[in-house]
Amino acid sequence: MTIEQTSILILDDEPIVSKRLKPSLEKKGYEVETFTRSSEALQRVTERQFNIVITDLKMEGMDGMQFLTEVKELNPDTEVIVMTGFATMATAKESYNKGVFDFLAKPFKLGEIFEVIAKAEKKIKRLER
Amino acid sequence: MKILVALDGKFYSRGIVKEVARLSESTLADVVFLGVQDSETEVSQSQQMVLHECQQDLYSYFRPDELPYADFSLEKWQKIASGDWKVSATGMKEFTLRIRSGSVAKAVVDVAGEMECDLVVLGCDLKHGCDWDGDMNVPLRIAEDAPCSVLVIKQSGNTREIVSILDQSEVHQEAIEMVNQLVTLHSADLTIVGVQEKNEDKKDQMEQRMVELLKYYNDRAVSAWAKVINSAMVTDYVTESSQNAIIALWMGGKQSLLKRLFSHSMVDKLLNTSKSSVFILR
Repeated sequence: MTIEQTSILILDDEPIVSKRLKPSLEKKGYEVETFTRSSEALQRVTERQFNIVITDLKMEGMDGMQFLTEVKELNPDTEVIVMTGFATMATAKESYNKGVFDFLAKPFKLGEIFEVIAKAEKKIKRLER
Repeated sequence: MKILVALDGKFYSRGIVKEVARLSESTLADVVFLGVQDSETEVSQSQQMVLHECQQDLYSYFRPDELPYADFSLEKWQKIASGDWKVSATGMKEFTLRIRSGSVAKAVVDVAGEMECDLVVLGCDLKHGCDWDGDMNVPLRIAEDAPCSVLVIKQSGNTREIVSILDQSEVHQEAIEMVNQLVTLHSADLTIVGVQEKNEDKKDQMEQRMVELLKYYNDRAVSAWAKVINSAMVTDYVTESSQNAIIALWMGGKQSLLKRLFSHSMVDKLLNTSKSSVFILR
């Protein structure tokens, strides 16, 4: 897949998170889709491939760990960034074992997630060549 | 998350490194260790040594294969401005040592803003309440003026309860997340306390906010208790609870009720009388 516009899916059951991230990322030229329900986000990743998936871990219904496992199984090339308000060493380890690109504990500044996304994008482009 | 840790060579600073290590291990945070000195012209060797030793202490907390920070040499200290030096290394996450000249509180507040930190952590000497190298004003000034949340560690180790006193102004998501990280770190019980004024309209707002917060925690399988107290009782309640639990005070914006109730002298009183750590949330 050749990247023209990097596509990002954001899953967080707190609407405020997507509300904060979506416009800033779109302003930077990313194509962004946001979801607050993991079932809907999972449905979407079965329909199309995203370059980057950003997901919360602790959510109502299917948790983020299960979601990212499904995403990686469906599209191993998708880079997954985990964000969590309830960080533990065990969840960080488990996330990395499942192949996530980075792990961000909330709260974080927008600059921090921009930096991580840029790094993920760089990796995707390097692998494309 | 980016954590700024204010350090000097005293025992109360060294004593918080393990607690910071636990926090940085669980959150995989970027970490900044900041020392403050008088001289603007030359960087203090002893200050460099203190920060380096604390950094080594923190690194040693991790298993070598799980250390998220890269090692760096002290020879790489760079002057980045007058009275401002730093050295940093980027591994999976970034670790920075920084020395700034000037007054301690101002330097901490300024660097926290410049580096866009999410949390400032510092220890304090309990001999006279809560002071920094004999100066009672340092922890207070930092707690009052920092642009982000501040954790003043008075007692390291496991706390079983965190009492989060809710403001009536807007509840920031960042502050909720900061409390969540502390609850997770300590596996602590969370008590959310709403402060109620006589105004009936605001009473409804407060109750609604408490219900929303309880739902938020319930949805995430985190057990939380809720309690509403009258504003006239808040200072006594906080003083009493702070003997055992970490107190998280929500000091919001201009509309902050807690800011009005906890005048400068009350935050000072809390810092000085609390046996456990104090968390100022923004």
